[in-house]
Amino acid sequence: MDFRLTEEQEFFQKVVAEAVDRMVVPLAQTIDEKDEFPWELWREFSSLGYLGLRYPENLGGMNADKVTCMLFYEEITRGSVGFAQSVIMNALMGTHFLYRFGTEEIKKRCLLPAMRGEKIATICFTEDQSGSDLAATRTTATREGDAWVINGTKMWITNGPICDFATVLATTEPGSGFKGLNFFLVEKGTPGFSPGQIIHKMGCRGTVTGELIFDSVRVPQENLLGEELGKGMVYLGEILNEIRAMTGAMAIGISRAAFDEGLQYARKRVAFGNPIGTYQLIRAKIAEMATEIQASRLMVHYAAWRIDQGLDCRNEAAMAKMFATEVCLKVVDEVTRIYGANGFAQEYAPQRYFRDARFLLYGGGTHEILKDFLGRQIVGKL
Amino acid sequence: MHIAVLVKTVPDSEARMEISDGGRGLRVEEKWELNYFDAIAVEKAVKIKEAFPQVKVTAIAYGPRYVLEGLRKAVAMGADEAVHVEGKEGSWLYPLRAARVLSQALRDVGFHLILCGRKATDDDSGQVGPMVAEFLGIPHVSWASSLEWDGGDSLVAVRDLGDHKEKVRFSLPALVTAHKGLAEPRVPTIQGTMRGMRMQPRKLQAAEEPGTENWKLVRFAEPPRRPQVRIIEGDDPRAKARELLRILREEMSLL
Amino acid sequence: MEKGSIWVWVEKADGKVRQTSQEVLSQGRSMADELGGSLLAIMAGPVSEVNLEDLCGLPDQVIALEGDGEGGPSLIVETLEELIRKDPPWALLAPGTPSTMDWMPRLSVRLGVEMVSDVVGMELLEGGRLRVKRPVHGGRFLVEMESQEGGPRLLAIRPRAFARKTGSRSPRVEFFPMKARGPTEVQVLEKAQREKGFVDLSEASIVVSGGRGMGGPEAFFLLEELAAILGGAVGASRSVVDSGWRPASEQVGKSGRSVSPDLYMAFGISGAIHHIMGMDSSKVVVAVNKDPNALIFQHADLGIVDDVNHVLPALIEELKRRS
Repeated sequence: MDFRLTEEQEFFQKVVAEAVDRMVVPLAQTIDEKDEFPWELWREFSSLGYLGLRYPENLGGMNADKVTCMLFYEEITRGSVGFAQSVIMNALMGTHFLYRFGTEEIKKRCLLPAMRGEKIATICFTEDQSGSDLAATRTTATREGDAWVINGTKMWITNGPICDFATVLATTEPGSGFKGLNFFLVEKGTPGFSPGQIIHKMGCRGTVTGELIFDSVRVPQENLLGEELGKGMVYLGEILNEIRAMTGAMAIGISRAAFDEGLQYARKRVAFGNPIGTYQLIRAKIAEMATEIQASRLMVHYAAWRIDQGLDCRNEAAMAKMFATEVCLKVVDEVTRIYGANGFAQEYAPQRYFRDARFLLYGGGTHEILKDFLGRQIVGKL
Repeated sequence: MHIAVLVKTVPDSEARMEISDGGRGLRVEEKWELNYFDAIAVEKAVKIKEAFPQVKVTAIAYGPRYVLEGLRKAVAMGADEAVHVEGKEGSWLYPLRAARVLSQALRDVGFHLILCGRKATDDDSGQVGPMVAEFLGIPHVSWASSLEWDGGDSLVAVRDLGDHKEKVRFSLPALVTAHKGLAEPRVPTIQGTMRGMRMQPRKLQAAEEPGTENWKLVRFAEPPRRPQVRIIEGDDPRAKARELLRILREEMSLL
Repeated sequence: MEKGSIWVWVEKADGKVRQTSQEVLSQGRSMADELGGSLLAIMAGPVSEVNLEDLCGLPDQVIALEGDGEGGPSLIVETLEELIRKDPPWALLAPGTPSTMDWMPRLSVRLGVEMVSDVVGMELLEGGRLRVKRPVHGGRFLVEMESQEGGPRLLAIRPRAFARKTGSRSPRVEFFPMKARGPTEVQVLEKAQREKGFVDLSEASIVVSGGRGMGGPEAFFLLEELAAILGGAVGASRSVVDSGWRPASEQVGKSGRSVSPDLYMAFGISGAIHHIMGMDSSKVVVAVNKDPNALIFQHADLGIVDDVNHVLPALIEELKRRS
């Protein structure tokens, strides 16, 4: 078994890491403090083209394998979690269905600009009454002639209030659960489509998250993103593992950022005459964190590798997401402890990671859902 | 027109280093990066290429396998080709030998203008640039913080040397060593990174040199450590300033 | 090659012998004495009485190179090569400045002899073996090299590595024509010296440096005032230069200048490794920073934990009061 990243993957990670260090890291604290979308940084970073990494070269992307994608997600999140959420929305969820099912026109109008950051993308699942329970989706899409009319309200949409287009999960057969679910493309400027309330979050600040309102929004037939009606969940299933592994990669990014801060602090902070890194309890914390981050990384990369190999990895992806998240929550907690009272001060980074890490609990699937899923998979049908 | 850029791959600033082998060696963690001043040189070469499309940029590196890192970065930033002259470990400390090898590679590859950093941050010597120029019998301009065309084969460079600034004119073929300000190294785009990932350098062999060993490495040592800092206590900045000056004058005979 | 004949290249600025050259002459004198040899100073351009005095009574002989002006690097290489081939010295020392580093490497190629740059220490062992020390990796380590037989030992010496001393010799002066044309010439179009009283960073015995903790570019006027009172030079950290508060020529650190003053004062500088690399060889380091955990305190002799904007004015006022 060769566990190494290839030289090419290592080089890719290095270049992205340097870009993040130069462009994102210096602004991360300000982005958090101001809680404003960093337009200039968005333009500067996305103009480099990395947002298109999943898509083919002839579209301007690089056809990156999933392991390489994980490296990207990890590095950008390490820089700023809020900014990363917006970036990854454009790179993965917000554009995938357009790439997979959109017409040439749709690709030209929406996908290609989104790959360069010229348009902001998003995907809408969550509603007031449904988060994990997608079958209870109440947003409807009704056929009217050769168009679809969409009605409903979506919540907790990353990039929602500032998006140029959205992939919307709506039911064409209310009451029939999964079978009615489909994805539709809705573009800014379509009458009836408007941003609603913005949610002020405890973490992942800088990215704009909020409501999207669909009031008799009329879209043409080609905006149905799918080959057949009713296959929405099947199509989602094609990238669900990747989304879960991606969330795990984000967790590693946050863990690393926090861990590096904690390690630096342990080396320089002096108490009782010595740097605290000389004391056993601090060393123990460092050792445990390093071990668990290492384990998270191996799990996430393994899940990604299985996707690349075309192997089923529903279990591995769920495990990787859960494990990396739980590790991250522990790491951000421990690092604030290593900082002592300074871990409570807004001037220092650990409190930011502590707040940012919470989103991992619901992004990509809550752990309650994931454990139930895994439990059922492993125990089997009884 | 052909611009050749000499690139050195050096340990990254986070790489851990420790003295080994009883002082005869330096063990360095395998974390490499393109030498900062060479990155400036690469950027300048690529900027010239973007302004004049007939220009071709070749990056050249000498050393063992790890020097491919610097070459990849140069290609990702926009160099058209990469040349790797294979060399042994330890060549980082011997500028005259490196210069001799690189000059031969430059003759093979061809050039009109050679750019390189004004020094490498591992050996800090700054000798290779001028030495290569001498081997090739061409003029060199060091510490260039700006470089412009002056028509035909003529170039004008500005050198900011701290105590004075000067503007110089010279003709190609020539070698210029880059100082901060000559260009700001770019972050590679996704296309650049892909090119760097796929890079297949041209391989050259260094001719066997009878080693001119005028200087032999004896050992590495750590510089003397400063004792723990003495903090001047108190709440009143003026009292502390006074105390500082007193210590500097009376105890340390400074000022 | 006369055993123990030491040649020292002497530089002038504004017509005056530079301090760095006096340092190298002093070290050259010590070496010549230990080897039982002679010390020869080589200077380009017109040599005045004052210039000879500024050689501090150290050399036995002076060779003055006559020609147009002070000669560019290619002329110096041609001329020195001829002098050396006529009568090779045991060692040729020069102050390690950007000017000398333009010709010594080229001379090294001409003679087929390796050189050592940025030398900070020298030791003569029995049997006439010479050991030199120089910093690498930004000063994190020192490397010691020993000269082997063959060829003059070519050494570029770090400014301020050696102390200046004086002697009592009156050297005899010889003239030698500088080469008229070099094959690889660079034409100097304009040369702008800094204002009078400007102290070059690498040669200053006192450097006062500011970082982000200074708060903004205006605060540096205080540093300039302090530098003027102390007769020192102003330095800056990388982030301050990158932000445009101070010019790149003032940057101290891995990608800037290396300094070895007697006194280095760091105001509002955090002490990141790339800065330390540029000033760690200073004799005495004073750090002022309001963050008690700042890394700079691990590389300082004296420290004040306080806001630089309170301490700096207090220092200036105290110094003004005293004088």
